[in-house]
Amino acid sequence: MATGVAAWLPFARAAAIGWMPVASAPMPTPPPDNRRKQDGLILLNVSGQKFQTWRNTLERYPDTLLGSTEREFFFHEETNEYFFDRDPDIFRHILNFYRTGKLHYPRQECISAYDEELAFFGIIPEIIGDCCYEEYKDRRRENQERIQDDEDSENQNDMVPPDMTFRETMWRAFENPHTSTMALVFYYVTGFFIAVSVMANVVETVPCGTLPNRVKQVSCGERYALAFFCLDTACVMIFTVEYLLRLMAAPSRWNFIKSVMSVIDVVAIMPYYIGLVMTDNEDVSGAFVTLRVFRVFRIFKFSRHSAGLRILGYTLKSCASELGFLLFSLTMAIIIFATVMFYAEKGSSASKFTSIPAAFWYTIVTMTTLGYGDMVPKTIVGKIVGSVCSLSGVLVIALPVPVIVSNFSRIYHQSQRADKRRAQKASKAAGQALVCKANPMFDTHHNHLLHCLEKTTNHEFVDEQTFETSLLEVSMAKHPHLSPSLSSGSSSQGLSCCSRRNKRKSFNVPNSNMTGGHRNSIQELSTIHIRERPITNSRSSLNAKFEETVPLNCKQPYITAAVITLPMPPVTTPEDDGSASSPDYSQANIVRVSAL
Amino acid sequence: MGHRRRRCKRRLLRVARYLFRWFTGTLVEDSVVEDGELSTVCYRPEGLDQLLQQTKFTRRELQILYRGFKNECPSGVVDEETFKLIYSQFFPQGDSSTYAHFLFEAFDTHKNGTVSFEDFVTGLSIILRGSVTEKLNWAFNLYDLNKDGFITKEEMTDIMSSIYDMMGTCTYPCMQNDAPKEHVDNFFQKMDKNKDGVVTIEEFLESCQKDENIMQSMHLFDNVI
Repeated sequence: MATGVAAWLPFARAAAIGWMPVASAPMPTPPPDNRRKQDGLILLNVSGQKFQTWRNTLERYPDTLLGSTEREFFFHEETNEYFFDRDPDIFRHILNFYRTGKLHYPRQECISAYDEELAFFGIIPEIIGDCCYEEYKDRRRENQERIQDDEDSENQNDMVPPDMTFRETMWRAFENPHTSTMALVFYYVTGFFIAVSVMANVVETVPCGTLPNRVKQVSCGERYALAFFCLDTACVMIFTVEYLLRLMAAPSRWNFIKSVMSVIDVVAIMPYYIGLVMTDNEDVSGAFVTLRVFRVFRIFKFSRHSAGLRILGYTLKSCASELGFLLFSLTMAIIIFATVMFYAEKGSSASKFTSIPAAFWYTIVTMTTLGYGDMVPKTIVGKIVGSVCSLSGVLVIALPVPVIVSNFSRIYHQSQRADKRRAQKASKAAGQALVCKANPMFDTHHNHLLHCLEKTTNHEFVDEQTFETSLLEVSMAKHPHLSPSLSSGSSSQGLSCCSRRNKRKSFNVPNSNMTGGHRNSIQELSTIHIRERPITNSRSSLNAKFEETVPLNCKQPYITAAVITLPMPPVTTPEDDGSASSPDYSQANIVRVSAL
Repeated sequence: MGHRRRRCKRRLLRVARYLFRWFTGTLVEDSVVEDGELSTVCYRPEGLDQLLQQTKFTRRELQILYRGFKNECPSGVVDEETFKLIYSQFFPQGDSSTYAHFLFEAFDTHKNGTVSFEDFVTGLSIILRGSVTEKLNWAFNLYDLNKDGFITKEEMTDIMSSIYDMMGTCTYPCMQNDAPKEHVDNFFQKMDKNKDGVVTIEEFLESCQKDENIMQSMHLFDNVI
C-alpha cells in the first residue's frame, strides 16, 4: 500500500467505533503498540549538502540503507550527523522517494551514475514511478547497446582466435567482409558478377540491328546468343559456388536454408539449371521463358551488399498493414468511380467504357493523376464524374501517405514500447513486491481492524479459492456418499498457499485445545497459518499430520511477497479476560504469513 | 402561404450557412478548452492553539495528525470522493463506499460537502479522547442518518448493509442476503426498550451502558494516535 495510506490507518481504526454498538460478539484485543519512541529529526550530510528528515520517514523502507541499521556505519560523532560521500543532486531524488513513496528519474542525470547511487542506497530501480519508468528503461537500454557495440567492435578488431576451425573462419569471412583481404576480394567479385549478370539480362533484349538474311530486327540476345550464354554460365557458376560455400560454412545449415537471402540465391540460379535440363521442346519453351524472368531476382542479391536495401525491406514488412489499408481504400474508391463512370458513359456511342472492369483502368489512371488519355469520357455527366474522380484521387492518394509514414514511425515505436512494457511489467511487479514491504506494524494494525469487522458481522474473510471450494462443498454435502472421496481427493491435490478453512474444522477435533472459539481468531484475509508442530502429542490423527506437512507448492497466481509476523508474546492486560481470543494467540503458535 | 415561405427561407439560410462554414472551414477554432482551471482552493485550519482548546489532543498529536492530513490532501480539505477512495484501500475485499459516505456525513459537521482539518480533528477527538457517553453520542449520530434524533429500522438497515458490504462476497459462512436484516432485528430487540420501532438517544445510551462488550470495545482504539 502507498505510504500515504498508512498515514490514514489511525483514522480508519478510529472510525471502526461505528461498528462497536452493533457488534454482537466481543472484539479482539488490539496488538500492542510499541512504537512509542519519539520521532526525531535526522541530519544527513551528503558531500556538504545537508538534508533533514524525520526518522520515521526513513524507516518506512527498512530494507534500504537509510532505513536500516546500516546507516549507523555512516554516523559521524564529531558533528552528530550521518555523512555520505556521494552525489547530493541524485541523493535529493532518493530522499524524495522516502518522503513520497515514488522514485523519479531525473532526465539530465547520467544513467550509470544514477544506477550506482541506487545500488549504493539499496533501492531497486523497478520501483521507479510510471511517469519516469519508460525514460529510465530507454536510457538504460541505449547504454547497454552502446556498451555492447563497444564490446563488439573491440571483438572484431581483435586478432582472430587461432583455434577457430576453417569452417568458422569461412563463415566469418562471408558475414564480415572487412575481416580479411580474401573476404573483401570475394565480396567485390560477387558484387561485380551480380551487376554483370543483371546488365546482361537487360542488354540481351535490346534490338541489335538485322541479320543479313532477315528483315526484322533481332535482339542482341539472339544475335550473340553464344556470347550471352557463356556469360550467363560463368555468372551462374560463380553464384553456385558461392552458395555452396556459404551452405558449407553456415553454423546451422537448416537456418541458413530457411533464410531469405538463401531463397533469393536459389531462385536466381535455378532457371539456368532448369533451362539446361529441359530440351528445346515447344510446349515447355513458353514456361521456360517465364522462368527467365526470375533471373531478375539476382538484383536482390545486392541486399547482402547494401544495408539500406535490407532496412527498406524490413520497413515494408513492418508497414504492411498500413499499406494494406491504403490499397483497400484505393480499391473501394476505384470500384465506386468505375461503376459510376460506366453507367454515365453507357449512353454515348463508341464509348471505350465497355464494362466496369474496363473502367477500372480509366479510374486508376485518373486517380493517380497519370491521365494517359487512352480512355476519355464524352458525355457531360461522364466529364463531371471524371473531374470528381481526379480530385478525390489526389486526396485518397496524398492523404494516407504521410499518415502512413507518421503512423509507421509511431506504431513502430509504440509496438516496441508495448513489447518492452510487457516484458518490464513482470520484472517491475517482482521488484515492487520486494521493495514495498511496508512496516509490519501497519499490517498488524490493519489485520486487527479487519478482524474487528469480521467480529462485528459474524462472518469471516476468506479468499476466493476457499470460498469457491466451500460453495462446492455445500453443494456436495447434499450427496453425502461423495463427500469422503471429495475431502480425500481435494486434500491430496496440491494445496495453494491459501489455507482451507473447512478442512481445518475437521482437523481441530483431535487437537483438543482448539475449540469453536478458535476459528474466530484466525483471520482469513490473505494470510496463511502455518501451524508449528504443537508441543502436545497431536500426532494421533492422520489429518493433523497432513496439515503439518502441507507443502507450500503455490500455484503461480498466489505467489506474493509476504510479511511474516510471529505472534507477540501474550500481553496480560485486564481486557484479555473478556475476549476469548487471547488464549488462542498464546496457545496457537501460529506463524502468520500475510500477503501484501 | 407567407408562413411556409418564411420557414423555407429560414431552412435554406441555415443550409447555406452550414455549407459556407463547411467550405471556409471551421477547423480554425480549436474547441479544446484550456484546462487551466487550477484548483486554487486552499484551506488553512485555525491556529494550533485554538485547536488545542477545542480538542483533547496534545500539541504533538495535533502536529502529527496535521502532517499526515496535509500530505494526503494538500488543498486542506477532503472531498467525499477522496474520502471514499482512502477508506476503500483498507477494505479491498468489499465495497466500503456506502459506509464511507455515512462516515463522511458524520465528520462533515458543517454540512458543506468537505471535511476540513478541524472537522477531522474534532471528530477524532471525540472518538479517541472523549468520554464513553460522548463516544456513544457520536456513534448514535453516525447511525441517525437524517439527524432527527431517532434511529429508525430503515436507517439501521442501511448502516448494517453498508457494514456487511465491506465484507464482500468471499466470506465464511456465505453471506446471505438477509444477514443485515437479521442483525438489525437483533439490534432493535436489544435497544428498543419501549418497542416503538425507533431507538432514541436515551434508549441507546442505556442499552449500551448495560452491555459489557460494547463498553469494553469503546476503549479499543484509544491509543491509535
